Amino acid sequence: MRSTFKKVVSIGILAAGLGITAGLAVYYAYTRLQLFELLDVENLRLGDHEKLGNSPLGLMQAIALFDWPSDRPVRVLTLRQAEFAFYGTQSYRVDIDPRMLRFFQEEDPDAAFRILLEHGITHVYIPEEPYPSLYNSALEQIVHSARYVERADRFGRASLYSLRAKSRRGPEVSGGSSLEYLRWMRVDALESSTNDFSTPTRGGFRIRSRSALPGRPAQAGVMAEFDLVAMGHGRSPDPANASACSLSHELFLTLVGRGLVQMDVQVISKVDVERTVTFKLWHGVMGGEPRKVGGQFWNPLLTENGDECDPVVVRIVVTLQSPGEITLLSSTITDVGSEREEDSEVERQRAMGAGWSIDGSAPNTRLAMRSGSKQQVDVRHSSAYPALLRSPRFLIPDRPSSAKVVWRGTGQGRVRLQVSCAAEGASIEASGARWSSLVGGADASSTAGSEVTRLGASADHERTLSLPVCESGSKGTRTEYRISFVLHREQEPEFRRHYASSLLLERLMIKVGEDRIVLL
Amino acid sequence: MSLFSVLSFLGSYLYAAFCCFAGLQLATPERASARFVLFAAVLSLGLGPIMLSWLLTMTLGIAPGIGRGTCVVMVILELGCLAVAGLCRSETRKSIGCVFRILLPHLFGWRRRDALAATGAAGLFVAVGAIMVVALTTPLAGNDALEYAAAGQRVYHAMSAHVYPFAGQNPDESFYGPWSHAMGFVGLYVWSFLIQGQADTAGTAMLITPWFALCTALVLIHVMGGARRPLAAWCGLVVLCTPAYLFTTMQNHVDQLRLFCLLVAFVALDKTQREHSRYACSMIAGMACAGGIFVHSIGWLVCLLVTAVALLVVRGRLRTKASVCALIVIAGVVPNVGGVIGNLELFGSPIVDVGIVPLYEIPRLHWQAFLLETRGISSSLDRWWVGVLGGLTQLTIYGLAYWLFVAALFWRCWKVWSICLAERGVGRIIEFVTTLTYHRDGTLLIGVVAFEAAVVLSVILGMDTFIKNYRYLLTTLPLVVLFGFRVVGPQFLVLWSQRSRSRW
Repeated sequence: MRSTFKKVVSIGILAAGLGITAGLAVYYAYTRLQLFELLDVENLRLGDHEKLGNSPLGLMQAIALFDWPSDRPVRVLTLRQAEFAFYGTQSYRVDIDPRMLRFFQEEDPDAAFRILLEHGITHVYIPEEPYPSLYNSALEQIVHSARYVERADRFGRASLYSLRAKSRRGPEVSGGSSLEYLRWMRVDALESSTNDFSTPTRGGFRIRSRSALPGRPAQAGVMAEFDLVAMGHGRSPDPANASACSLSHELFLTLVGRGLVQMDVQVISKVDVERTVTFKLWHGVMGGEPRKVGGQFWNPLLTENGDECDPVVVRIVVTLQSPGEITLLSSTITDVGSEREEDSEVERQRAMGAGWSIDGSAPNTRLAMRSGSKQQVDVRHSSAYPALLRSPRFLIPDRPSSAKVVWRGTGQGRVRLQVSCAAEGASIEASGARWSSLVGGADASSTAGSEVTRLGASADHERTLSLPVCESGSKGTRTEYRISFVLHREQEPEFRRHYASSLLLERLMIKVGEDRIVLL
Repeated sequence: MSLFSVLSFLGSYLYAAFCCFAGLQLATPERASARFVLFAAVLSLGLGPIMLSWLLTMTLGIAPGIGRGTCVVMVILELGCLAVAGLCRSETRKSIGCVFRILLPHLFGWRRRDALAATGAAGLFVAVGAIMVVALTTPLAGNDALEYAAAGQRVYHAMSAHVYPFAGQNPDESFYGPWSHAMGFVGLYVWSFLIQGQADTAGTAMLITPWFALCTALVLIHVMGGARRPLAAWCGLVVLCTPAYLFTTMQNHVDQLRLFCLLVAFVALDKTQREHSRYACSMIAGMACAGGIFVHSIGWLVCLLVTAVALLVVRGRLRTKASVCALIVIAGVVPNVGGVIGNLELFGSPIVDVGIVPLYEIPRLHWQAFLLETRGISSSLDRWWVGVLGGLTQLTIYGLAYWLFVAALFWRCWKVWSICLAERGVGRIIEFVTTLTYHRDGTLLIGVVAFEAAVVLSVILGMDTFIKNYRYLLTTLPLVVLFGFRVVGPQFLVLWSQRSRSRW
């Protein structure tokens, strides 16, 4: 009995030792493989660029996915050069490069922007992490202003800004107002017994975050919500253009204190709280001096017809991400006109609002409905797998056996059409993430055979698709259809390095007998 | 990464190790023990590839623009010359035979039914396997590793060492990497690109850091000989699986190379006390310092540390000590003279902290405040708690390795105190302290204490050089673990044999 006990203890010691050491190695290997989606054995055969494209790291997408449309030679100002240096082919300047010193010394954004143009900078890349080169320089004002930025693209946690060839005039400012009516509350998820929170003044707050032990992470957060329209913002002064989402707003908080601070604005739909867009307005280190932090935001949550926005609640979230203390001295909001840069997040919301969707949520796929026109749907992706663009659902009054799909588009890669159906109101969504899993399952689908269309210059295409048969849930229930574009990367050698594929869809129409259903 | 590339990579590293071993035999005395020969063989596994990188760098420096195939052949021939010179000695041929016969049993042999050793070996196998799976399947993605790879990529395209470092000499170059590090790590990247024929992806370069991590584990296994043998694999396993060491291995950091060099230097110093081949050991320590300097600028500080410790631990008169130190300095510095001259011309100093980055000097950007805040050392209390005592307080980064060291130190002090009490006098303590340098493991202890003293001193002086990056505190990790296993190991083995009888 005693000998058995000794053996059990011995085995326990060995198992604990192995668990702590080798177990840790296996755990780290697991997380590393997971980062690049390599737990899916099929992905092991992919190349390095494709593995990176499958990860949420962001920068790889900025390099590989972006097609760098520019009438000027492309040159990027980046705050992190590693991926640009090894994987990229674009010319770039990193912030630590002495050639950019004059830019970072310049305090005036107009003068700083001119220096960027002198250096031939056409794009600015900002990684997720806060950098003093951003939040303590004129670069912060430049990338957050439509005066200088033509387009903002979000890639996972990173952002890429396309600069204008020259700055525009400043926006019309309709007057600012104080946000002293705000009621600040703690963020419960970040609460701990070592944090302090108080509201010493009307519309103000003071938060303090301490570590339970020195060196342990400490976090504290506060938030406040307000209704943009009810508080008198978000309506254009021009009655003819009184859309609730036509204006951009500048929100600034004057804070004093020390610590690593992040300020976000969340625009939350009142219709569907799942529809939330977050604007990261400021992220940096406060050093004890009073400081005005903030930036621009707007309501990007367009309704399906694209003319109006969802009614929204705006939530300001301030997090203190290190031990420290900050106090809010004042807060102001200003309507700054309707001009803003194009933004990939807004375009994605617009497309989704119009009923378009794209398979999966990988950061390397991008869906956009171009601003100013509902007639273009833009898809780009760099995944190893085909992307699946799904149209809005539509009804066909009678049940014919086939229909003609007429579409016009341009792009890079190969595309195959597929039609799916389901009883009205039932899900057409595939159960799996892969496009191939659409075939079979509860919903019926049909493809245009093995016929694929090689994309190139814009051209009209016409395909006849046999319509699948779906069983109705009950008598009188109609059938809804949806067209899917299965977008493959081109396999030719010249695409080995830049392996993204794209489809710019300009027109989509379904002909069933004499009927015409125009989707785009 | 193709199988052929991987085999070429491993073949070239083993060939370099063989040539390095044969070359080392030129400095080995005739009556060197088998243990010394085995030590030379194990350390050659790491020093060989560094030597390969050095020869490649020299070739690219002397003959810029050389053809890629020609360059590979040249480096292979240069290494071959070293091997041929070594093989001219009959002792070398005997040593090689000896190594082929007993190296693998020496490292991986254990007594039958020894559960402790078998479990340690199994754990090591799993850990190395996990690291290799990551290296062979994941793409290069870490910031520092990508920058080294980018430097290697540019050197590979130019086939010239003169383009390095990238400190703004070429106005058309986008890449800016103003490091004062020599080309050791970059050279290994270039070699990987050369043997795989392309530099668009990292390929076999993903194996560089894991290779040196494995070499470090093998040196530890070699050193943990004798009665401690059942714990040898565990010693290597604890170093490999220290969280910071593990994830820097998987992210292809340079630290595994410099830590390997530091470990070899200290083991060689330790051997100067017992081996007859004192000058050969000193030479090896110097070569390890040279390797450390060649892969990272912090190697200069390590060389200084090794020389200072040598002055204390080498037995003999001052003249003997001075000659050993001189040998270490000469062997360490001479191969890096070119780099020193280059750095003096470019930076005005042989070693610089952040290179030429005037951006950090702009007051309104407050870079220093940002660095201190994001590294968690903004307050003076944090500088001590997170920085100086990080090994003990940051368990998620340094694991239990430094606690093992503290336990071993406590045990050693307790033993001395017990003897002192038994003999009723402080004379024994004084004797222990004054002869500390002659004790087994004294070299390791002095090395760790000297490094920690430098850390403490730097913080007292208001500098954050040693604590601003968690990887700098890893410098002494192999020494800390080795000391812990050497001191606590025998006690643990006694307890283990009493509890479980160890034979199932």
